[in-house]
Amino acid sequence: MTRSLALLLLAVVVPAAHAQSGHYAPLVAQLPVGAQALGMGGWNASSRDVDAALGNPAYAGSLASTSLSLARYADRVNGGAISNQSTIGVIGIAIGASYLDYGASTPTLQARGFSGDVLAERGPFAAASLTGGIAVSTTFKGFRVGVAGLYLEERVESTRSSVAAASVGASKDVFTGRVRLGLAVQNIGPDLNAPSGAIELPTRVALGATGPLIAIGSYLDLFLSGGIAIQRDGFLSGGAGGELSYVPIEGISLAVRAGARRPELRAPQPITLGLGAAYDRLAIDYAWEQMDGGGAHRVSLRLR
Amino acid sequence: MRNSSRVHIVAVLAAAVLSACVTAPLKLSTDDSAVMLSRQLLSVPDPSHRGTFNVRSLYYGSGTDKQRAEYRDSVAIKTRTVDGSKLAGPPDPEQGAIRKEYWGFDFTKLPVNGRVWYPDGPGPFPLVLIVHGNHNMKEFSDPGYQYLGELLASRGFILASVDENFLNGFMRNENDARGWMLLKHLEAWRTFNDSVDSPLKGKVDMGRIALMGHSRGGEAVAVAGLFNRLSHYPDDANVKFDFNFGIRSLVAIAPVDGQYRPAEKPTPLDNYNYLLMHGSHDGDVSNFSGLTQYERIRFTDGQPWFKSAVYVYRANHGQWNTVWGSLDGGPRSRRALDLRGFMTQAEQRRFAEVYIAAFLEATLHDRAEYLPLFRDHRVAGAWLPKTMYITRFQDSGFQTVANFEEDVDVTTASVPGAVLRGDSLSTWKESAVPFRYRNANMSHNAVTLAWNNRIAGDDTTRRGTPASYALTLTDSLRRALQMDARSVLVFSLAPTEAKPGPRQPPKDTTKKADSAAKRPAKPPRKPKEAAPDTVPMDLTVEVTDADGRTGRVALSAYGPVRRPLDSFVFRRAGRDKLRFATTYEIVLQTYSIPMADFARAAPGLDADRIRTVRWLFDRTEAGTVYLDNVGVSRMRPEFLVAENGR
Repeated sequence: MTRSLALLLLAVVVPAAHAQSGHYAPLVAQLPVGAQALGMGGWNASSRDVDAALGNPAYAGSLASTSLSLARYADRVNGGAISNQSTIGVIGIAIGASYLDYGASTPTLQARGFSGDVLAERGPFAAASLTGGIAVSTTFKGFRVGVAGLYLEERVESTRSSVAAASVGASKDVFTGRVRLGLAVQNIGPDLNAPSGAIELPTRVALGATGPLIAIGSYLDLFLSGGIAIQRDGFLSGGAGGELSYVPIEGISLAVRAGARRPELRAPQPITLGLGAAYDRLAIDYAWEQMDGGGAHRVSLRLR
Repeated sequence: MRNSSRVHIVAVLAAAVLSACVTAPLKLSTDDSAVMLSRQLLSVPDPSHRGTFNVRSLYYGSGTDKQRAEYRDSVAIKTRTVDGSKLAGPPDPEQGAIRKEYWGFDFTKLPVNGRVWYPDGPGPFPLVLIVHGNHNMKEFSDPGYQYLGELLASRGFILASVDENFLNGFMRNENDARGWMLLKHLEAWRTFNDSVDSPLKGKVDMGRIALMGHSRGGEAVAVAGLFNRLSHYPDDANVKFDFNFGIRSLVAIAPVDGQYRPAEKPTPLDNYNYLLMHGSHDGDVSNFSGLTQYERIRFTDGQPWFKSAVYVYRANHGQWNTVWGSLDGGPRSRRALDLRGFMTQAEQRRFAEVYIAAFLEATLHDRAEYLPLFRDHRVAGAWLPKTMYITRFQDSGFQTVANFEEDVDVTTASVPGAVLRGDSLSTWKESAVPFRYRNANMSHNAVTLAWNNRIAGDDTTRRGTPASYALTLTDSLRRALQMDARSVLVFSLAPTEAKPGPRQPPKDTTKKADSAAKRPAKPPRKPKEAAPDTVPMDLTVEVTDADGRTGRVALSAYGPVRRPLDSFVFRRAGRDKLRFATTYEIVLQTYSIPMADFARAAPGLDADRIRTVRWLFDRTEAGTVYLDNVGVSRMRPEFLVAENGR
């Protein structure tokens, strides 16, 4: 597993020339949601986080919890996300939304305007990006399968465009549950209509693997995670990372995380780092991601 | 120092401080072993000492084992595999594939592997099989009983530790297969004993067999005992059985119960000697599950069987096996489980050595001088590790008078001709004895009796007649029970922490009711939540003969009368109260009081004509007890040889 992740990392990160396409919208749909996943290289299709409504819908309901995330990119570029998961009988449900307030470099919506450079330096025109969704999942023939309905919106000044979309996903635990595999097709839907023409959604096929949890002595755990995604233009992104957590007593943990990635957008850079602390049902996570012109910060609070 | 290093150090320190804050202080019940184990009344040799035989060892097995070099390269006797696929299978196809890849065989070709310690002598020697329970299948469990193998072999037993690691791991509903495998091993042993070229030829006494099992293996020995006398597998009659081995004794070490239910019923078991042991600090099987099987064992054929259960304070689940050790919850146990209260592994093993060796000596070597140990652990104070024990006991001479199972009438007993009466009790009810796990019970009833002899009111010195609970027998029942001066009164009892409030004063019926002068009654005070009662308890047991003469003894002379023993399993403060209904297990202690003792206490008492037995709550002002399995026994005299405490 470790070797596979290393190979994946090499395949994805090493050729990470700035080949990112940067012409998809909304912008927020190309950014990670939770700090825990971000600290390990970013979201991947096997991240069983509370943000399943915006990630892999197969994990909807897998962690009954509520999460709030706040992000700070460049000066005056802020984002946030909120999500909740629960179950009703055999059906898992997740609901979530992610929002980014930024400054666009041009006064209108237009293709090729979403490279992510605005994350590093706020543009002069008020802009916002929103995605929200509700996902359901269930078990079918040994697989966990899920589907999410999404609302995607991009706004620059007074120009706003929105569209309904969907994501589908599947997951399976293998090696007696020690490794989790996830596959998702995200943001399937029509283009966003903009005055300058249609803007494609960031549709991607994503594959990820997490685990196994490796015990190191009595009090340390090592957890690995990695994945790749292919966008509709063939651009390959991905990332991998790990978490080392110290659990001095049941219910309390302290984690450090590190990851590397090949991001979809131009401004984000390969390195991500993170910290986490949990006390019973409450967890707080922090992630730092390398950015052009500095770093970005994300904090998530999760209540299980 | 760099800032990042400082942050890391501060974070780790913060986590350490936080974990220290939420770690529960070590809480143990006050140890009374200095008193309870102060005497050694058995004068026979300590059974945990090695015997006179030199010990030899060998392996038997498939000779092809992929993972176990000893069963591949070192087997002295090759065995044929057995098809267990009708009794067990992988939980899912993926598991099946993983298991087959790892072990090199599936459930149709289970190996009959064992490691043997045997006496260097001509024999024949009794045969004892021991089987481990569930554990990481890759951390092999069968070597963990070597300490027992070497001890027992030196004392003239053959011990085989059976390999069932291939049934470990992520398995469910396989305990029937675990038991069945033991019987397949016995079939192999019959061959070993009969084969001309076997190194064990003629060494095995196949009429004196004991099966021992730990954890799931502890349930498996009961299943094996059941299957041994059945002609068909209860869950598939196409599987025919023809075992009928000379199994005399079963030993269950921290067993589970009910994971296998033949024909959807609890495993019934008749006519075996049965020894059960369980630790109070078991972090895996955290309730005394084996007591349900203990209760189900019946003696019906008139042979001299007995059963004994010992609850061992500060023993855990794994230390009975040297491979398993102290980590009952796996490698990460230290995070969750409080290991500080455990007795040492050496002490726990010594307890196992004493009890198991004595049990096998008594039941397979007919060394009756060890029998008192199983009735009352206090007879062997010098042999036992200094901790607290609770002993349950019943012999085949026992006849039940009241076990509180028969109906919902609290005044009737289990046999016609017996009447139960309570006097001045604040609680008198029959109900199931609870397990410490929430919403779980021991599947058998007891009577709960609570009392407070203090009269409510401002005068705190005012006391009423001591509360009591009485069993009255008719002459015909006494005759039917053959109850006389040689009989032994036997019952089991456990105090709880509950303490009822003072009793209401009796109504003064001489005063006239005067409604005009009557003041409105004060609303009753809301009772405060009482702290657990920790005052040592005792009570009087009294018998009355047909002529009204009474004889009395103090219960504490016949065994410990203790409040429940606190057993905090988890490290996190409050976690035990979250997981369990109580922080202790209710375990009833069995008391055996010879009728002759009452006569000694009250000269003139006619112990041949006892009419009433009364539990008189006169030695402790207030308390609550469970009482169960009241009866009389024509106990073998050997059980009573070492009279203790009087």
